[in-house]
Amino acid sequence: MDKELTDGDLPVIGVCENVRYGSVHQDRTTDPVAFVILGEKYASWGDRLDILNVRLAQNSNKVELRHQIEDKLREMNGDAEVTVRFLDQQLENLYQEEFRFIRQVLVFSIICLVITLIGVFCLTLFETEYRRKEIGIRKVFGSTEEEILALLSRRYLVLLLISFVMAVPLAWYIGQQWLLSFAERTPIHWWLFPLALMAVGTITLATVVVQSWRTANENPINSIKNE
Amino acid sequence: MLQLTDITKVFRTEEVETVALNGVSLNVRPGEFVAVMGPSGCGKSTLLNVLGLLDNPTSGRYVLDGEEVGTLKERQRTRVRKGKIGFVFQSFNLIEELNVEQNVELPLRYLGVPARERKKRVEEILQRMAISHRSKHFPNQLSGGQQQRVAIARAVVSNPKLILADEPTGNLDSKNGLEVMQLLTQLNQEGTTIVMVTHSQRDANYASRIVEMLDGQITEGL
Repeated sequence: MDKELTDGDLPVIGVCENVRYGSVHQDRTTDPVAFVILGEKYASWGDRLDILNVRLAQNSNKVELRHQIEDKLREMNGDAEVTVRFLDQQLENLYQEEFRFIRQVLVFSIICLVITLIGVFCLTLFETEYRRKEIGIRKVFGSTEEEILALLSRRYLVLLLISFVMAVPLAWYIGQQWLLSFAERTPIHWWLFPLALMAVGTITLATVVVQSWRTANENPINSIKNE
Repeated sequence: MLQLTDITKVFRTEEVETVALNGVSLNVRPGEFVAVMGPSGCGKSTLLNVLGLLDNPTSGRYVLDGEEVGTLKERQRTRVRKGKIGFVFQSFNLIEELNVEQNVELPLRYLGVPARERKKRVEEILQRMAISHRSKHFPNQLSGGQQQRVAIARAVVSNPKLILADEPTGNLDSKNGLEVMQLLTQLNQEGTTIVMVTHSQRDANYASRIVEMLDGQITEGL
């Protein structure tokens, strides 16, 4: 840096933050990167220098600006073919597989949840009807509506907890394996799992309560009439 | 123990209005054994439901153990009913999924009695009802007489002041019916107030007073 420049040297005019380029699947953290501004002196380098990165101002009209840039480049490049691409489009093309995978996982998760909730709904419907007399007897002997709802919900919460204990290690392992294909990766935070449990648990409980509420509030006389 | 004053109960649907109780007044003293008789549809069961706080009267006053209870909301009725009133039904109404011990301890659970105390009281009452040898059995493994004894055990385990019995011998043969009536009489002699609905004159004769009902009104035995 403190040597005198000779004819072939390029002066360093600044040092910027590390720039990530290429796919995150590849580890490029040790690759040296330099942004070089070349003037007429290096015009003979010709077609090796053919990528221009442009940063657009916020809230600018991207379509109009794109046309302006294309026109200008053609003007500068003697009407040669120019291709203008947006960075977010580039990224999407680069990670097509990953985005497809995420969409598939999301869709199938939602389908699984919906099927499960339909099952819970139907099972609760059956159970409240099957246990209608029992619920009436319990109310006669002092049970409150909340105790009845807790009685009906208990079995689903137990099943949910058992499923949670079985699913967490599996989910963690699959997530880790997928993340290992990336050179740079986000950690799997511990709180994601209890958060998922709370979300699914809340929806399940809401389904059971909504379905059981009518039976839990019914006058016990109606369900324990003599046959 | 309880006072009913001019109680009326009307059931209304879109098409029809039924007056099940029409100005019923009744006093039951502590320790009394009252039998309520009358033809089907005269309002006996409705009367029992009102007495047991399973339903509110449409109008009138109901005082139970010094407390006005005729206008209470469902939650408050449950609170008063717990521990004060025991029920014995014609069709026993035991919970099939619970064994004898679990059925009998049900009222104690809802009273918040600790587990150890519950176990002790259940064991005592089952021995008294001569059914302790079947404590782990389920209702469908018991005879009718045994089921009714379990139902009576459940009704009295919380030491209620009032037992309401709706045709307790209706589904029993004469021998088992006799046993049940003797049990109820014994409980009454120990101080429990009993109001029993029955069609049987023989069973009614165990009571200290017989109240006759017709068309939603008390005609005799006031």
